[in-house]
Amino acid sequence: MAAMAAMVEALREWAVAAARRDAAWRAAVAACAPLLASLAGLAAQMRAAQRLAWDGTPLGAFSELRERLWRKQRGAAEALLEELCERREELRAVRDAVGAGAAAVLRLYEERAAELSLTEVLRRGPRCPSLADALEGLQDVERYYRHMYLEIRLFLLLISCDSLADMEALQQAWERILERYGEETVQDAFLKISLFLDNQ
Amino acid sequence: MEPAPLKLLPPDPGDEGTQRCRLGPAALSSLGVRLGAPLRISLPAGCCLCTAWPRPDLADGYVQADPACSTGLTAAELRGLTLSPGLLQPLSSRRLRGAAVRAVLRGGAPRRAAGLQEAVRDLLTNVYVSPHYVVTVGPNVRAPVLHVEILSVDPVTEEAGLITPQTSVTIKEVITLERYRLLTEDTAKIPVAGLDDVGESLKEMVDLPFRFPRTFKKLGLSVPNGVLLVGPPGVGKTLLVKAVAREAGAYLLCISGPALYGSRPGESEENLRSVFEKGREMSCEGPTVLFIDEIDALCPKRGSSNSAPEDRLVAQLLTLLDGVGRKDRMVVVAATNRPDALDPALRRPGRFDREVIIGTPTLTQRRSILQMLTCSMPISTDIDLVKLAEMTTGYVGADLTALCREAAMQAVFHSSLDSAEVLINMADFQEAFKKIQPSSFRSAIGLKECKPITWEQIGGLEDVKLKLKQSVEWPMKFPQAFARMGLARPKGVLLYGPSGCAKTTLVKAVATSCHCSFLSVSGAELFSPYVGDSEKILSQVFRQARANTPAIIFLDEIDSILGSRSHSKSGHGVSERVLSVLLNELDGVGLKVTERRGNKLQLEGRCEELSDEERQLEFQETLSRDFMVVAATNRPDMLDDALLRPGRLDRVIYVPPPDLKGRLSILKICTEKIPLDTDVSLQDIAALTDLFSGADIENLCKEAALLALQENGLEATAVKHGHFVKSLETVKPSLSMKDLEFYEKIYSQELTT
Amino acid sequence: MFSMNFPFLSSIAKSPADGTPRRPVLSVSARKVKDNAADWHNLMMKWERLNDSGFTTANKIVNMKISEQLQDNKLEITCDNSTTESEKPSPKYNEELDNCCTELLETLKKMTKIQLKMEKLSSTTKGICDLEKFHHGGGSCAAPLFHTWPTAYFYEVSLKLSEMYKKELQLKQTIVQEIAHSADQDLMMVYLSSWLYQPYLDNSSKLLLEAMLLETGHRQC
Repeated sequence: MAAMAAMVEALREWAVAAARRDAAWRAAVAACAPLLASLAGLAAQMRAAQRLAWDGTPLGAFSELRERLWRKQRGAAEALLEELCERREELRAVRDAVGAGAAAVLRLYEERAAELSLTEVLRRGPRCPSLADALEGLQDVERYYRHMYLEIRLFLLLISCDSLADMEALQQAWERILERYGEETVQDAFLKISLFLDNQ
Repeated sequence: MEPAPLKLLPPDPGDEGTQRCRLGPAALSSLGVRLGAPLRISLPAGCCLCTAWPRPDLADGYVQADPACSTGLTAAELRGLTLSPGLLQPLSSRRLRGAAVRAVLRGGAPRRAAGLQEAVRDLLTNVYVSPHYVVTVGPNVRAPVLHVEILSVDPVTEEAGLITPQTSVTIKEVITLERYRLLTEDTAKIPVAGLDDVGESLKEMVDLPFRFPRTFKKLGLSVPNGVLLVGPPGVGKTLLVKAVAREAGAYLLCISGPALYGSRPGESEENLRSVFEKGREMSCEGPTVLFIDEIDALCPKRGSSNSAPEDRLVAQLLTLLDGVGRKDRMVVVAATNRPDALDPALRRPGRFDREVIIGTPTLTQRRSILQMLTCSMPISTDIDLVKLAEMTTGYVGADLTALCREAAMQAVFHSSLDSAEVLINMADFQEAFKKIQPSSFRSAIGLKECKPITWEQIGGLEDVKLKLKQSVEWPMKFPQAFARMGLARPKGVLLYGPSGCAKTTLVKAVATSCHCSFLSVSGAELFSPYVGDSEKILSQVFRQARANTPAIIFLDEIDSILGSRSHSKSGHGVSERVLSVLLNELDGVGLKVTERRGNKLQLEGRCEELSDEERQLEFQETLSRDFMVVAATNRPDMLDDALLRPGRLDRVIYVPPPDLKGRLSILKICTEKIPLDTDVSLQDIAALTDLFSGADIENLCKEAALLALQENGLEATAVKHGHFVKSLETVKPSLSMKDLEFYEKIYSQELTT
Repeated sequence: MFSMNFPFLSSIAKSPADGTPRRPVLSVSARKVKDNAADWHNLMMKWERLNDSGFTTANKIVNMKISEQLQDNKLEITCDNSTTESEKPSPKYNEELDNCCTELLETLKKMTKIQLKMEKLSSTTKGICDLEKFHHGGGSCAAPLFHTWPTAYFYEVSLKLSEMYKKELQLKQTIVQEIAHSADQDLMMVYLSSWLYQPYLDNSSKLLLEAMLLETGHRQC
């Protein structure tokens, strides 16, 4: 019984921390959207400047305007990217913390597994998930953060001023990632774990 | 109690990529494992490494496994199986300090994808692995990596190892999906026969630089990386390259002209560049062969077409070939059947260092090809492959394949039973032989099919027949005897004599008895309004004959084809030029390099290793590697003297008008089908028909038979002697004494000189 | 009052050639320069604010123009369909657009004023420089007013900044004149982008200002 109690305690601790971290994760993900929108807008401006036949316009008389504007725009893009990288670092922190927490819980289970009988682990009530369900949820959450972080990182790596067309479509690509990583996975797992904890 | 077998169900979509194996409580407790403990599931197609989890519905008797980490299992291989619980084996697990992996890039992902290292780490985190297992990334994670193969783990374990965030993952190798497929797919050898030496050298070129890169570096050798394969269509150029690539485990990148051409200006060049770029990338990982089939279409002679886009493409190809430096270990192989149409700049060292000529297969090559083709066919014992090989002169590999297929079809037809034991016998091959023509003959000029005529169908002329047999049939049929006696065989034979005296028929009989390719050229086929065309056609005839030896080239009415240099006035006519072509072809310096057949080496050095029978074959092959020219004319005085000297048309045979005995035998042959009355004396008629040629006699017989029909109405049953005598009044001999004297004079000159 | 003035007087009495900077006691020139620096800061901040509001207005104008174009296109299509109606509807008077243009002009006017003030600031600095030169009669070593900058350097910085803003103002004038009369979307986009990113204001301008504020003691290191 002591083993079960220890597991419950560990899970409870993890769940509290994870819920807090998940809020941070959501905030960081949400903060990316406006930055990406700005980048996309900037890309549209840069493409317009590239397409424009400057000599025929009233701006043709301004010396080195084109180069100056390009420099300024690139500077702005870099600033935005830097900010995105900050958000990414926040995401990474969440991923690492949640992952480490989950690993610790699973490790604890591994150590105490001998003391827990299979029936105990699998026992569930009508509204109460089993320990097995809770541990599964734990894994799911960890994998969710890990994979989503991986995709976001790769996504951000691919942004460059050399492919403005891709940059203009950033928001759509971002939406696609968010679509594939719906919040349900995490919410379901949290619910499962909290139901399990509540019934102990 | 033996536990009940478990039914393998497809994994839940939600479990994809989780490595989970869903089991019922009974199975879990019988295995005695904790949740999440690694299990090895052994399946017929391979193993897969999973973690034990209970089924959500806790039902027993089922198992579901996510093959995220396996020895290359696919979801299809997990369908419809039943497992005995013994196949689930719990593994001990430990946390890994390090792992070396090979990453397989998703199709289209750039080789040096940014953040690859970290992506691989992230994908492997919290996954149980074992050496030589492959972790597959599911489609719901968009990563540049598709598979991660575990090469080795630290600490070394054959059981499961868990990769944690602390494990150091090193990527030893990054390969593309294409090459990974090449490595994992089963590599059945493509059978190739008769091209061993060529294949060997090609394989060396592809393989050696990869096997001994340091040696090559030390020797300062630049690896030859361009090969041009030259040969007629169907000899197996493409097949050879494919087989070699497969055998050497090389990635084969094919370029075909039509796929390359784009409508936009510059698009074709761009496509070409991208293919080379791809090849270069692939060659970083392993042997790569870039195969340009039908390069003549891609790289024609510049300047001749006057089309700038084409020239640009050629220039681009040349630049790219130059760019294939020593750093990229890519071998470029090109194949063509029209080497003369290639831009000469292509054929220099540094671009295509080696040129390999694959000719029409020789006798031995044909035999080995047939051996290879028939080894998987149910053939009866009466089939003599050597004889088949002898019969199939001029057949290339593709033709032989078609021949065998046709023979098999024949066997199926005549057995007309759906039995498993259909045997293909020689008769089937004979039947197929009639249907399948060698491909080199399909577009040939002057190829004739003539009604077979036996020597017996020609009356008289026993002397001439013997001479012809001696000079044409014997060397073709019994070359050994000639070689033994140190006899050189005649190059050509000239038949002359008055018209209607069976010159053409004689040649037909020769062709029938020799079983060789028979090409006949007449003036009509040769002459063309274009300057130089006639010469080209004639030399093509000779080229075909050389490719299809043994062969006979028959030039009927040669005086009309060629003039004599001394007789003509201008000295610049077409006929002079045709004559010079003929003289050159007959007695030229040598073969064109691109027409080489077989292997030189074999003929020179390695004879001792061969068995007697093989040596016999070789011998025969060497000797029969020739063709003969037979010419016929009734104006021998019009011919150029140079044509008649030894080494050219060196046998001159006079075909005289039939003498008494000859006429008698001709009459016998002509009246074979005519019912003769008893009073007819062929002897008498023969005596009466002095100066009649063979054709005249035939005409006479027809005339007599007609007369008989006329006189006796349609009920006539026999031709009487009187009919012959009467028709002799109307049918006049076509020869005159004067003509005869003319020929006799030349004949006697012939004898005296 | 007198006593209050005392330190001020004493600082005048002391020759600036003394060399040691006394923070509480500043010469008239130094005070003037310090005030100028503060003014620079304020003006630049004000400019930024005006730039932002100007951008909002310009953005509105461009959006209006684009939606108008879309409508025109639609109208044209309907016009083509009904061939009887040959006359194109005259471009309707858009009150909102007009308002925005007036607003933008207003903003530009304010910016022009700021730019004039900036020029005045730099000419004042020049005056201080000249004065100093006059005092020292072209003597080579004039002690720095504050930490390290010679007085001429203040003028240099002011001039640089003022030149930047002058050019930028010219650009903005062009933009204001043209933005409502262009039909090319790319060009409109470039106008907007140029307004927002102010290509003639180098990134160094902020740095120069900060350095000046630091030197004059507005910013503590």
